[in-house]
Amino acid sequence: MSTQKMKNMEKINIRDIITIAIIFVLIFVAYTIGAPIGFMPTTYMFIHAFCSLMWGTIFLLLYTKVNKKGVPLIISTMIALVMLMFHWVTPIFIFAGGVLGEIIWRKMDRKSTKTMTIVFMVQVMLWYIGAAFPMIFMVESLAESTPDYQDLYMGVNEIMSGPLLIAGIVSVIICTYLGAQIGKKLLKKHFEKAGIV
Amino acid sequence: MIENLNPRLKIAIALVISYSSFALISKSVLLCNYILIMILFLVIKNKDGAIAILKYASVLFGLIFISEFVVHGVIFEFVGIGSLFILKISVFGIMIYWIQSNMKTGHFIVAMQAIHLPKSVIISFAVILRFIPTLKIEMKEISNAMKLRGIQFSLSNIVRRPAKTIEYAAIPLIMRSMTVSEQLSAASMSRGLDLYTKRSSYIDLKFTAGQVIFAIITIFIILMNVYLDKTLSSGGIII
Repeated sequence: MSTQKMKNMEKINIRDIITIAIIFVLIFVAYTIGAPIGFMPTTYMFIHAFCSLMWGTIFLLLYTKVNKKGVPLIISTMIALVMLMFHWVTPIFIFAGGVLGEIIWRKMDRKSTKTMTIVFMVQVMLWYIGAAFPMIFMVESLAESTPDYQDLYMGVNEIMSGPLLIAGIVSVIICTYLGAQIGKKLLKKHFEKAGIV
Repeated sequence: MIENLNPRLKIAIALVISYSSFALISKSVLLCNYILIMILFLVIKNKDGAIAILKYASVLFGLIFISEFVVHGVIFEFVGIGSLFILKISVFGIMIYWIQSNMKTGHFIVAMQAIHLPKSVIISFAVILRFIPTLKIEMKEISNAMKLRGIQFSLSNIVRRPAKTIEYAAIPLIMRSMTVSEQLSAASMSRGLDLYTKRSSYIDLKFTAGQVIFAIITIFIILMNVYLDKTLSSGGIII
């Protein structure tokens, strides 16, 4: 294969953009299913951990199907744009997760499931930190802007400022890893046989 | 021809109403925004959409009312908070539905090209808009198939057989989504969306005076709602 052809194959084409857009919708469908568990202060910090169990398959499918440079950064940027409605800090962390994921994606062998798992874990972890950051350090301004959630924010702040924050981080690490493993198994069981990946 | 609003105006209205609704403090102002959204649906002659939103908003605002004025307790407090959050966040979904109802994808692409957005962004948005109604149909079909096999997507099944229920729901959904992705790729390639040259189009999207006036009035009402919300909250009124 000529070098020019190889270069063109490395570039993200229209097919990849469409796949990324569809996967992006699926990520938010999973988020919509998982997010309601966070209406209680004690469960708020487990939203990302719970969603990761579903996201694992979706992210791994994306990385397997569109195994090209720039994919982690694109998907993180898209998520960050939507999360802009919650708080301005969260998208910054999500974008940072995308950049970090992209660096790992480029430095390591991106065909291996291990790399995909690490990139997925980094992205979700930074998303979690981005969601937790305003709850810990900017809770007063948050409560002022939405007085209805004042009790919820104060409750979450109390829990997250303590050792339970570590529990939240550990739960995200475990669940992202589990999610990726579930994804790996499901990809092998269903998608490889069907010729989708 | 206000019912065929220019996609650029539709997006401007949708963005202003979505972001402002999320930032609102007062529930009564949020209710005003919902009434405006219903009017927007009626303007584009989507009566079913307006009725669906009426039912949806009535249930959630009803729950908020009950949790605040009728029944008190921790659980009802969370029901109220949850309902308010869902009401705020679902404005985005509702406005996406409003944008894509009675709008052809071709018109959307031409409108976005006119504001010189990158091709990748235009295609992503077009796919998201086109895919959401398909997803709704697919989910309904998967749910029916699951019922037929005796594994209904219900809370009891999620609790009793979580792995099986989620697998039976998620895998067909992802599979179908990938098939849709292939079909959309083929359709977009046949329309020349993958070419690097500038695309021309026979669709002529121009702003009419009526459409611009309508959009300005709508955005003005939304901004007045935001102002009202700020005035009420600064006076300590958060009803």
